[in-house]
Amino acid sequence: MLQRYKSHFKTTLLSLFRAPGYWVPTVLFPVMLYSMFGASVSNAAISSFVMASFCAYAVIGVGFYQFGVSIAQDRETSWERFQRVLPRVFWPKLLSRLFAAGIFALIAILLVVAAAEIMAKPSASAFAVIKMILVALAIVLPFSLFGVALGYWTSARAAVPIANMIFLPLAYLGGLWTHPSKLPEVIQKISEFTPTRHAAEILWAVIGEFPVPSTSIYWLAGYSALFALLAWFGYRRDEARRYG
Amino acid sequence: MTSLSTVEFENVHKSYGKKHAVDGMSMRVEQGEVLCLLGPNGAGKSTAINMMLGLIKPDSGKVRLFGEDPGMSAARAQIGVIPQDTDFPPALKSREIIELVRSHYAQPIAVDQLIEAFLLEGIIDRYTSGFSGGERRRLALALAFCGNGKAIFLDEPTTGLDQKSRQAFWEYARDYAGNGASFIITTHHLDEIENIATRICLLVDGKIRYSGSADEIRSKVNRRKIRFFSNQKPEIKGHLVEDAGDGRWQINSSDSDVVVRNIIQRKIEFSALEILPCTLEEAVDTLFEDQTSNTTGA
Repeated sequence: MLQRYKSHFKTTLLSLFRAPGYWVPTVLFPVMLYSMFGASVSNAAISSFVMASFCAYAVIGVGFYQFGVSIAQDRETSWERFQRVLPRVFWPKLLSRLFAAGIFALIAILLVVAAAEIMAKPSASAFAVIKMILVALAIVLPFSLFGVALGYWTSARAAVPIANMIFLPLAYLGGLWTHPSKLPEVIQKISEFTPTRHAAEILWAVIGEFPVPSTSIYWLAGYSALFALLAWFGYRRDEARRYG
Repeated sequence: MTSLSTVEFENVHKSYGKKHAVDGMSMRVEQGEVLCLLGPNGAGKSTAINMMLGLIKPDSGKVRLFGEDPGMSAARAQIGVIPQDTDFPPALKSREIIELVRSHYAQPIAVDQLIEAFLLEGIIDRYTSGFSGGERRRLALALAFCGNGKAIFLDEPTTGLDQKSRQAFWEYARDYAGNGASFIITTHHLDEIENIATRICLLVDGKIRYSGSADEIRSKVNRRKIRFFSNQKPEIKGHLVEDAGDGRWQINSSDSDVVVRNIIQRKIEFSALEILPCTLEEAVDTLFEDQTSNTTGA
């Protein structure tokens, strides 16, 4: 029944867009950071990579917060409890959330790209930029799963502080703000194991038009599987605790 | 042709720690039945209903909803449930919420019909955040019915409703039940369900202590009210005489003949003597008192 999916997509998007206090900061934050710290690079080639880094930062942030925080907060409401008795509600709800995360991520990336084109004039071709945007959107998925897992393993009150404690270090370790080669040596070593680093590696390859390193794809696929598993167990645990 | 029961409970147990919330309950709700579950807080009503809805799994025993495991979509597609606490998504309008819920069912009720039945004209295109308790409740009721379910679960359906909405709601519910749907209702307003409930179950300590129609309960209790006017408080042996105000006195008794004979023998001056059957509420209260004294005595 397509109708269910349509209704959930519609109401999820309406709920979010009608709360500008939520979505405006979410989509503006990456472009603001980029404008302050990323746009000053004068080398046109390097500025392409910096733009890609901030795009990675944007999609990861949206996927992580849009999912992690909102699931943790919603599942404690009585409206959420009511929806559990509706037939066939699980997938339309989950997919509409993912869809909403994708839309917000797209807006956030487009803002970063626009700011870059105006201020830093990166050398990357239009084709490479479009490809990078599409690949960046795909990266929403693993980090959304990470968000879902976090949402189910934390309480509504703890979700935001915990998400910050995980997301900000991961962005730094992954080299999204400073190129990994400029990080302290120990941090460089750790960087190679983070999901954020591998997401960035993929986007750098796309924007620089060189082959995407397969190790990064494996790492990210591995992380996706791990996050999906954590999300699933978190969900089961929550079900058992609430309704067992 | 065999028709499936709406709800089937077979020796169902559910405990939380040492407390037996539901203690070996067996029952059936057949299609078209309007069942009212009554009981003090903690009697196991919510636990029983949550098991019928598949939100809680029993520790042991069998629970079926339309012959299926209650968690299955096939079962849930045939029911409607009133949302509790009713904190609706603040950024959605009533119409959008109703359409979201409707979209889960194969043959939902038209929105216009719901607007008329639940008096939603004034609130259908408004955000729910500013709603009064009654407006929230009317929307909640519309959500319980909008899927056109064959069984409707209503927990305290009329709390917060004014007299007019209350009447409109019960009228709609009676028509709806007339078309063969079942209801499972919990409420404290016994006067309201008296005309619609086909069966009333009394729950105490996770067990069904009594089950029967409103008339059966009243006749089982066999209690009457004797009321009359008198200038001074009469004394009648073995009976408590209550002041009903304005010089009127009331005696509750299971043997009204004895009381009346007593009044006449004692030459008590009286006027406008009435002997009335007790209300359902009074009958149920009496049954509960008996049940609790039985359990504490045992």
